[in-house]
Amino acid sequence: MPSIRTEGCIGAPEIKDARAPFSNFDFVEERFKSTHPKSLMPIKRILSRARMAEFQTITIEEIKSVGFSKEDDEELQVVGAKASGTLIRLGFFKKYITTPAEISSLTDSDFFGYAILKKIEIKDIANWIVFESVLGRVRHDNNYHHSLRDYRINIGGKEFNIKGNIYCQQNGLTNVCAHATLRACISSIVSDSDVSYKKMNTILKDKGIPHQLGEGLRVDQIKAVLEKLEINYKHYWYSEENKDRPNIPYHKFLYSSIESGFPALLGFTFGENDGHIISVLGHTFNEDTWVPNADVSYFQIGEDIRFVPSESWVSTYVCQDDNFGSDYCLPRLFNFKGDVHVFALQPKNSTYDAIDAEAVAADYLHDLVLSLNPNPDNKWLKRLREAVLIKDGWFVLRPLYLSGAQYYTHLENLKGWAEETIRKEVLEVLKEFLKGHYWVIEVSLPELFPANRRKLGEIVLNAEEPVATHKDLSSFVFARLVNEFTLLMRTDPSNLQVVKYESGISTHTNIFSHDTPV
Amino acid sequence: MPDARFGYPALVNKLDQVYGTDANANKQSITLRESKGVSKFLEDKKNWQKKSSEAKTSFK
Repeated sequence: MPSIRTEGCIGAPEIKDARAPFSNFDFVEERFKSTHPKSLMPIKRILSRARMAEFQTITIEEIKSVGFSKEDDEELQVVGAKASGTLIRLGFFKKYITTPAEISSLTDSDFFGYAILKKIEIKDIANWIVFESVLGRVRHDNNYHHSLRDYRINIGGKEFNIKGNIYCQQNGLTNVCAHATLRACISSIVSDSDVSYKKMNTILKDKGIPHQLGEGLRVDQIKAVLEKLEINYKHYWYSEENKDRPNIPYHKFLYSSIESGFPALLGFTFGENDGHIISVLGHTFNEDTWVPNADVSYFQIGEDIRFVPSESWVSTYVCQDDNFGSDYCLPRLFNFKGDVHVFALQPKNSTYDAIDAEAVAADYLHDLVLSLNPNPDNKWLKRLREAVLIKDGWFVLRPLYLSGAQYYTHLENLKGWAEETIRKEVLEVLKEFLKGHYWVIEVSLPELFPANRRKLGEIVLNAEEPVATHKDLSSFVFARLVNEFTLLMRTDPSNLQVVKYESGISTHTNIFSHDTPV
Repeated sequence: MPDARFGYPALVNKLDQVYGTDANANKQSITLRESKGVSKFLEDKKNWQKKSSEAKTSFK
């Protein structure tokens, strides 16, 4: 299918000097006159982010409406609205050029992103919307996005690559915020294609729950789209009306998706049944936050399991709101007045989520630490024992969903504080063994984890088998606690043995990193 | 497919070979606590999703 990202320009691109005294406000007001100025808030936000990235040139191209956009035009036509048939594609560059010919000299590192705008007319109303946009990251070094995707864009006949998350604005007629948010989230995890609004609406029509013109999407409709596309998710509804509502904070579910590279949809209500939904795609990290020291920051399960979740150092969640634009920060403890919905997207190959994995790991860790020599020779093992058993849960857990290959590569590159590494012969054995998908729950200390992103080990659980509600070993694979690999083996129903092997590392190591901060 | 409820004896055997350890020398018995808190938490968590479809919210 042709794509508006790679569609060639009609005529020559226009080149604009974006440096001062160029005004983003003037540019929007002159180029994109709209009946409802609010519809222009997303393009203003996008230009503000381009300004933050110190862009110097804007390219302006008129392109034909093809692919997903053409499908959208056809849906609009059915309801009596009119799209112009052409779109405006803006390219943002951090290098100054003056002519279209110079575009060929620009590189991916000069490119900050793009926005494609569409004019929609119905009766005497005409509004511009951002049909889609992808921008690069802006200057903050504490932002973490684990579900970025590469997008190829044709600007003036040359293809540029941008790594980011797609942003889309609803047209308010044939699609609404839920469509735009679904599209943004799905695009970040489906590598070969995106999903169009028409496809979503066709799914709903086929299911007998069609989207009604100008109406929102209900919970059952969002679920129907996700299920038809075979996207694994968990939905949680926080409401006074729901007696079985979760008793853990909603942001815990956001983190469970994001930290393993999956987006989440966050919905909230502002009337009895009226809601808005946004995509949550990343988080910021504050190594100096006081929060972990507060008693409420502990995650308590039953009477004897408690720990400090790594989520405690998240200061904000990075989200996109189709009404306002991309890359906003939502404070972690933000208190919504009405109901809250979380659609936490999950790995396809896992039967349970990061929160289950964290709870099970905490439980096993307690037993494994009890099996340690009360006075271990290794001082880091001694500190871990104290943290778990004496300091009443003063340790950190960070659950991650990893393939065997990802975890193996991480182990292969692990380095202790004295540059020591995992024994090579053990790595050979693990390379053969680690073939599936795992929940790897990193174990650290609150003084160690935020300061230099280091840890004391990890508990490894099999993600592909259902999690057991009691400890029958069906989830537990092994643990690496400082200098020991620890396995459990049941020789007969009444005899369980712990087996330990020296790892080659005797201090703390780097935590797993999806990427560098962006 | 080995039954994971018995652990991973094949992995233990391979590691024994690598370390040249006696198959039983580095093993000790362990007792796992009955973790009612975690079992209950996992059960509760399943229930939290059951009524979510009853929400009438429309996202616009």
